[in-house]
Amino acid sequence: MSILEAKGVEYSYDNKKKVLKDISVEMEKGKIYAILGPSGCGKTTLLSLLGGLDSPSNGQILYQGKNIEKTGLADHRKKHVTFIFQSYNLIDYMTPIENVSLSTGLPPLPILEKLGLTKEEAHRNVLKLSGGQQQRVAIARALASEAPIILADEPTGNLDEDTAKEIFAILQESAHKSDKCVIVVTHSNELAKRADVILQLKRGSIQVLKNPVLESKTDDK
Amino acid sequence: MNLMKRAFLYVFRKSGKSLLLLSIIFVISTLVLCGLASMDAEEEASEDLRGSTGTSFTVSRNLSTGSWSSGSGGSYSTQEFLSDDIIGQIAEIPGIKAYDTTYTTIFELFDTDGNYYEHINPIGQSMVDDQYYTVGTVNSEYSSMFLSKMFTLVEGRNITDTDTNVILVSKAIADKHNLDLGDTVVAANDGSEELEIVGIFDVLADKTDEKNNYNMASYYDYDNYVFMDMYSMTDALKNYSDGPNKGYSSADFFVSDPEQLENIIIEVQKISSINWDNFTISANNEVYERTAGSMSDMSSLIKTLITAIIIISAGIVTLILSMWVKGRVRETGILLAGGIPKSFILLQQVIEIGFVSLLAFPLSFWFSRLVAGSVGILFGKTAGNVIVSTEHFTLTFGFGFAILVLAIVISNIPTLKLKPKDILSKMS
Amino acid sequence: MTFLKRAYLHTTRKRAKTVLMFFILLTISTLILICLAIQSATNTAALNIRKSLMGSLTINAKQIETQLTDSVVNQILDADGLTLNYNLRSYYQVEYRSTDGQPFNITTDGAMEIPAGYEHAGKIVGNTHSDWDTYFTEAGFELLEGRHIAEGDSNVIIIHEDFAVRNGLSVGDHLVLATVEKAIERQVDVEIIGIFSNTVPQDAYGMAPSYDLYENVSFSDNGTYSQLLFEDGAGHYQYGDFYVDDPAELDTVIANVKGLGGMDWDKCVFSKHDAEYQNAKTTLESLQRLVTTIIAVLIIVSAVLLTLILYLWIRNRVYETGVLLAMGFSKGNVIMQHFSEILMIAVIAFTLSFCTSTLMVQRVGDNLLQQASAKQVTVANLTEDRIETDTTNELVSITSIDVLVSPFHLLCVYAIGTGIILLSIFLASYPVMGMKPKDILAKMS
Repeated sequence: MSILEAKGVEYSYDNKKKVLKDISVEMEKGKIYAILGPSGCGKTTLLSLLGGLDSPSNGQILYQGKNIEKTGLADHRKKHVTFIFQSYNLIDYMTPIENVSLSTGLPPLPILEKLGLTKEEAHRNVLKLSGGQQQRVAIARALASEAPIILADEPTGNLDEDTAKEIFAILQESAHKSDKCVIVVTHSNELAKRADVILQLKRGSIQVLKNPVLESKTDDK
Repeated sequence: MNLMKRAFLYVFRKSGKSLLLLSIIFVISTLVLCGLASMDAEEEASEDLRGSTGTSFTVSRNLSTGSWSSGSGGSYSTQEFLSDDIIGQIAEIPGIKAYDTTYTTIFELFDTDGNYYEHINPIGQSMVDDQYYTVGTVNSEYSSMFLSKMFTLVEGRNITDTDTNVILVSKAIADKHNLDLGDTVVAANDGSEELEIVGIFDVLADKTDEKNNYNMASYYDYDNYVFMDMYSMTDALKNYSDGPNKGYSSADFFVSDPEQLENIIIEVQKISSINWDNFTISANNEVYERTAGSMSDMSSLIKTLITAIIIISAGIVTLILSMWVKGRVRETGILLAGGIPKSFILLQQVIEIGFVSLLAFPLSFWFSRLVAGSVGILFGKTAGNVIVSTEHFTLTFGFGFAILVLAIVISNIPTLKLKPKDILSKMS
Repeated sequence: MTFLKRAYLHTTRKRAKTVLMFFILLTISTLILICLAIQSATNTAALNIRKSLMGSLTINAKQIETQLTDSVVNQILDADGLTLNYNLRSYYQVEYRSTDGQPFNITTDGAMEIPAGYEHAGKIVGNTHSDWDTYFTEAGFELLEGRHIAEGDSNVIIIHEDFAVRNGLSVGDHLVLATVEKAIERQVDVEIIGIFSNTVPQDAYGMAPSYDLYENVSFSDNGTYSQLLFEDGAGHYQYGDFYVDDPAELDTVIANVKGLGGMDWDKCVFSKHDAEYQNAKTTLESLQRLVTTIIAVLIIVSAVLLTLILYLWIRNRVYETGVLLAMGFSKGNVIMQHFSEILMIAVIAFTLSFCTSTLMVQRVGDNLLQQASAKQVTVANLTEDRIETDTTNELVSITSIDVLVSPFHLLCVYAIGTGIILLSIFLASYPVMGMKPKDILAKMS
């Protein structure tokens, strides 16, 4: 069964133009999804809906088959999903350890170390870490929350190419090794290619693309 | 990009921040303006309070320095009397708010047809029953019966120094004979006068308390007192050898501010046309003396309160402004790195505050006038209204702006001290 | 992580912000404490002013058979709001006789009439303190020899100089006062302790009965009156003047007295003497109202200012708020964090403000004392007046003004301060909290 599902979801700002039209998609644990599309096409909006930050004009968002509207959006945000933003993920007056502690009672240090931070770095003020280190901390916090779904909005947007690849690899690992359902919003084709499933958002509608490499191979035949 | 333009851009682009700053300056400056206006109002009220003690001084004939003569009624003093002229000169001294002198004798009261008005508690003899204890007065409000609140005016008005041919009667008499304000009565002694009733008073004192029975007055019921203007009394008694036309034995002068009593008396004694050997001055300031200490305490306390608020408000504004400046460190860094001289950066911020102040201060002037009006109502009418004057505004704007500029300069010192190389590292 | 822990981390890590907020709160609370301390002091000053203006009530009990008795007087003095200052007096006529029973001579010059039976009679003023009597304070009588009658004197008299000379009497001599009404024949032996005269001629030529002529007037103690006109050996008085502590309470005091049992108060005449207080009342009250208004305005302004500052403060943390909300913390939880941050700082700032304000108000109190002594009115030098401050100082007991910050004031500041902070946080959070979660996500991208 899918862990997260959008069913006939529609969304429009101020009852005018529909940003999202009849979106229906199912997502499973253990996979990493990329929502691809140009800027302003509604990717972030879709992510907000999936994460229970907003409600669709029509349709439902289901977690394990249940409408999150009924079970409670705050509850959904607290227990089922965890967010990673492009920037400003961390609370600036807390150390990585404290930032991770925000979401969990588990010991934060092992999780941070697993993501490549040293003990010393874990006690530093987050503003004194590099962009890549900061995003690792954000992921650590997301992982530590034990929420089965990770929603990431352009998590590598501010990073250089190499670091971006590293971060994405960590996210992949979270999906494959830790059995999370990871959904990444991106405008980068390069990164999207590395996802298990690509959902392309175009003019409000979603198109499920398989791995394009695979596609092109089959096309070549 | 020039200075003015940058300043302008900052204020209007960062409208949120500017609005906040404007609000803060507006609020504090309103507080300060109201404070200054309250200070003035407090001074006025305190003076009123001191004045309410009824402090006065009495000038009387000095019998001990005069000579004596004998006549039919016994011996009498030939000492100089207080003339209208003397009294007039003294009354001109600044700080004297009113004066009164009295001459008392018995008058008979009739209506215009010649029927006498029977007084309260008549004994059945017309020769006695038409007699009224008549006080000739210049300002009846300041005669002792009204001042001590033994009598109180219930209708009409008091007699003043410009009145002629007027009379005040008691409520008991007015009720007994159906008299109203505006009615005419005839008062007769040696001469007779037609007088208009301009006021009616009621008797509050215990009429039967014998402690007041120490002179002629006690043989007349308080209800049988009347007050007549001095002009009419003088006219009626002009043939008397010792009537009011000869002058008065004494006169009381009331001061607006008892604190000035000493100075006023000194000035009075300087009047050269009065022969001070013939007159004595005695002060009636017991009430003020009793209360002076406490009244001055009250005044000092309130002034301190207002001052503390004004000074500390200035402090708060300074604090807030330094907060504002601290938030601009990054921008300052960029400008310094861009080669803009430090003085220009400071000037830009000063101009920005200038823009904001130009709006905030006049707004607070307008608003504080509004607030002061309502505070004035709470204050009560006696002390006048709490008025915010242009003087207050100039003071506040001047000092206020100066404090703001100072705060900007001081708060910028750490940032402006940075060496160029430090800037870059601060920015990353 | 609880909101308390987050609040603690923010407060301890963001030093500069914390220190600034600390100083702002310290300043505001110090100012409010100073104002409260000064307000208490002005209330004391106002009370002192009222006390100095004095107020008294006079009970005229002449119409009652027993008039005022000792027990009633004691009950009255026990009532709330009265000082221990009072004067009891009675007015009556007696026949003057020598100790041998020979009638003395009185003046008849200028009398309207000499009523039958009163050929040797004069008016007696029975008084607790003869020097307080209106004859001395207003009609110009002056003691020439001996001393005034005071509380505790028994069977004494002070007589007019004329009467003394006319009858060959001096201080220390005795004479007898006898009732004039022959129906009750009583007499009392009294000792002459003083001789007085009038400085102003009696303004009643041909108007007064003989016994009212100044020369025939004498003063005696209240006991003598009771002995002459009553049989029961107890004290009786026609009039009582009682001074109240605070003239603003005069009506209440009169009501209290009227509530005392054992007297037919309806037959008595009560009169109030509070003219000076009435004249000052409105202005005095308005000054007190000014202080209250100032404090109210100050509190409102502080609340407004704090709200503005906190608005900035919270707005700058919109990202942090976004992260927390996205993580599932409720808006209430975030508000409680902000509230706790400020409260932590406030508790310390308020407590410290007790010290800062106490330091500052001390100077205020000292300043007052200096001014009071400097303001000795020296008018007496210019006039012929005698300085009569003694009597007044006996009658008025001023409360000394201490400008102090009391624990109660501090409690007020804690209460008001917490209230203001709560209000300010709510108002300041409103715009940020009004954001929908989706708006927050939009901000983050």
